[in-house]
Amino acid sequence: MTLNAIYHTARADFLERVRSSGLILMLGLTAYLSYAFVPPLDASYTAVSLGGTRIFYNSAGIGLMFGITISMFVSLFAFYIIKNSIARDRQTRVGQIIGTTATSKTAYLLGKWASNVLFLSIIVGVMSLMAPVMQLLRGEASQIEIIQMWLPIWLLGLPMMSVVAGFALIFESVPFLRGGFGNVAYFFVWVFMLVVLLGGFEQGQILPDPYGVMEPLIQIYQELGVEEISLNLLGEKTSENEPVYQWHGRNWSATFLLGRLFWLGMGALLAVSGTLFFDRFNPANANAKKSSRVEKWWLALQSRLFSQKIDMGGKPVRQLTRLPHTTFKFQPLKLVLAELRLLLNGQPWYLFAGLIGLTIFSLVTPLADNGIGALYPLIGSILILSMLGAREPFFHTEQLVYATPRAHSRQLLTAWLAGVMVMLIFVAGYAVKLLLVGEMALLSGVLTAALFIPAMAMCLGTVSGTRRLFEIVFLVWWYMAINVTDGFLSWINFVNPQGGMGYLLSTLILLATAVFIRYAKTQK
Amino acid sequence: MNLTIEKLSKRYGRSAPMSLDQVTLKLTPGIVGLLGPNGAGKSTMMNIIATLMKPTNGRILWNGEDVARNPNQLRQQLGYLPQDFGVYPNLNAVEFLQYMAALKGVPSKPAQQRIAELLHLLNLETAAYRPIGGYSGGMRQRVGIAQALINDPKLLIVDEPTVGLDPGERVRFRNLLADLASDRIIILSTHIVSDVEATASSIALINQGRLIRHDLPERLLTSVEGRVWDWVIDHDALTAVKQKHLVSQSIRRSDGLHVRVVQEQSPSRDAIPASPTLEDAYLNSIFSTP
Repeated sequence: MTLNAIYHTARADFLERVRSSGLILMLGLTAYLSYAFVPPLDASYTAVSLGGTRIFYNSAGIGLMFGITISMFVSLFAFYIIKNSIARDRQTRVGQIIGTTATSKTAYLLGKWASNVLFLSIIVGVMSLMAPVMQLLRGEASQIEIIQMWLPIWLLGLPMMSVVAGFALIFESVPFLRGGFGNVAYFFVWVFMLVVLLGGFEQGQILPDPYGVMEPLIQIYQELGVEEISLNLLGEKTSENEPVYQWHGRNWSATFLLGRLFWLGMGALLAVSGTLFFDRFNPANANAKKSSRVEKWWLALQSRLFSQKIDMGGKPVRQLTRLPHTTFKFQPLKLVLAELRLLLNGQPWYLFAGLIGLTIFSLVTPLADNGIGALYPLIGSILILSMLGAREPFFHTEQLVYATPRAHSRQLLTAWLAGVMVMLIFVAGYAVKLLLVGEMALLSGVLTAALFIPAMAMCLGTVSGTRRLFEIVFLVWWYMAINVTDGFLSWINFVNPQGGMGYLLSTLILLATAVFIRYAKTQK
Repeated sequence: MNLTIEKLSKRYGRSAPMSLDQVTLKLTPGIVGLLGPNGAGKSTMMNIIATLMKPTNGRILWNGEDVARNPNQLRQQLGYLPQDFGVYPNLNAVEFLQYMAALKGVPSKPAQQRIAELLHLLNLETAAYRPIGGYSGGMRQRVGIAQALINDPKLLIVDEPTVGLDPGERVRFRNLLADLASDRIIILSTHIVSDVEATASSIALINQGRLIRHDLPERLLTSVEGRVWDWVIDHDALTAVKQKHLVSQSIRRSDGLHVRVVQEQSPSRDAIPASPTLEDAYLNSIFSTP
């Protein structure tokens, strides 16, 4: 009975996923990723570099590179791809039906985990198929050894995908990790895990390794005979004539294989641990967070701040008063304020407490040269801005909104302006600090970024219809905004004096794209 | 004021069947009841009229002007309540209606008065400042009705508006529609024939994407005059009767099962003629069309 429930939960979830149009996009991106991670020999970057040494493009080498890529790189995006399994049941209200059946929480979560793993296996499968294609395309070695190629891909990739599948279900089960906060939190969990593992690796420590990369890397470093060890993904080439290492595979030890089985099972265990938090679609929990004393006080305060009371009259109404349509006109300021209220209303109190804390922090701490101070307040805005463009599909209000005059441009642009206002509130403390110390170039960079980020949110929300795409891209942008110093994307960096123009231009392109897509959606 | 629908057709994809097939209608102020079985094309037609969708063929003229060329002229005067719509759960009813009024360009002062009136009329004034997320299904539906009326629309399209309303609220809404109908066009789509019977000045019957009939309710009733029969049968004979005859109703009573049969000839010598209802006329039209 339980096995049957697990099987059918997994089957239904998997079929629902593979029949959505997102699958084609995922397949395309995976194929591109496979292409990008075996760069041409004369490319300016290396996909996987071991202390400045490139891996030779033979079957085993490409297999290892793909295994490392899936385990250490794809594991970030895989989380966001599959973190909608329980949410879909909640949104489609199928969950309420499931909640009334005899299916246990464990069976349900195990079924979802199995579907997650199966779905992520498609990525592993596509990369496995792309691996021989890339070997032939790059032509560094002609003989294809399929076992040596596929073993590292699946041994490294699949157990990590299982762990990600389990993580996603925990994040979906814990109430405060379900939304945007959880998406941001996972990014930091992912960075933290990599930093701890690679940091330990560079210092010669062997830590628990869900990625499965330690054993092959230690073997390679021993064969290379170097003392200082490091692993870089998608880094710039250190020299034109990079040393090349030929890896011919290995006899995977029983300890290693048991370790991979352990992490495969750990994924299932993580999923099952979600039963501690999973509410089984209890509708009472939807309003539970609003019942605490702090939340009640916060809701009352929000109502006072944002709600404009109207005179209800008091006399019974027999007929509706006529409205002259000739007086109807677009009132941009009123609509911007209404959009601002829509963005801010219902946001949790701790977000604003954090904002006040960050503003004070920005004002009192010394200014860093790299503009990193601006990034802390900016990341706080992600939870509010991610609704731009995605709000109408999320709340099913498209038909109401799109049936109003010029909704594709008016509503979209006023919502963007409201987003800019939110950004300005968030960076106010840091901007004042820059003004006080006369850092005008950095100030203009921050202010133009305040125009750019809501435009990015609006465009990605309109394109995808969900908040997640913006949340992921924002985090990548956030990371790049302080780390990228050279190349054609250098304008992203705040300290770059040319950055402002790049941001302004991108803002216009993103807004135009959003308007066009919104318009196209109503022209079907 | 008139809305003209000319040979309107819609096909979702090249190989898909016609969801709407050459529908032609001319509407003037009053309530037109749109009746048809599930999947008949009613929602498709309403989405096209509401400018949310483009027709594959045909056109819609609002006061003589092609809606496809200038959809904003119609949107300014449009009120639309979709069958399945959402709301922003963290806003209260006043805030949500203020937002919709701003989107529709209604100036602040008249909007405030209109919101107060609508909340009174729809019995929402006591819940006006509570977040909509905590509303019952019926209350949420009434917020939907309020937003459709916020701009005093000249064309009001309502798709299954009474779903989730209790009988008292249903009657209240029907009266409201009747009051509004004198100087605007109202398109009311529903499966509840009694809602149409009580309010509609004309009825459009749609089946398989085609307009079967557009007529006055009384003329539809006349068309089944003498074709409705009341017949008392054994409780276990219902399945057999349903296979042979078009049954519009069956009620269990102590003397047996009372069934209403719609057909030209009397189904049995025991059957007696009955006064037709709109439901009988609807079923007769739908099932007698090939």
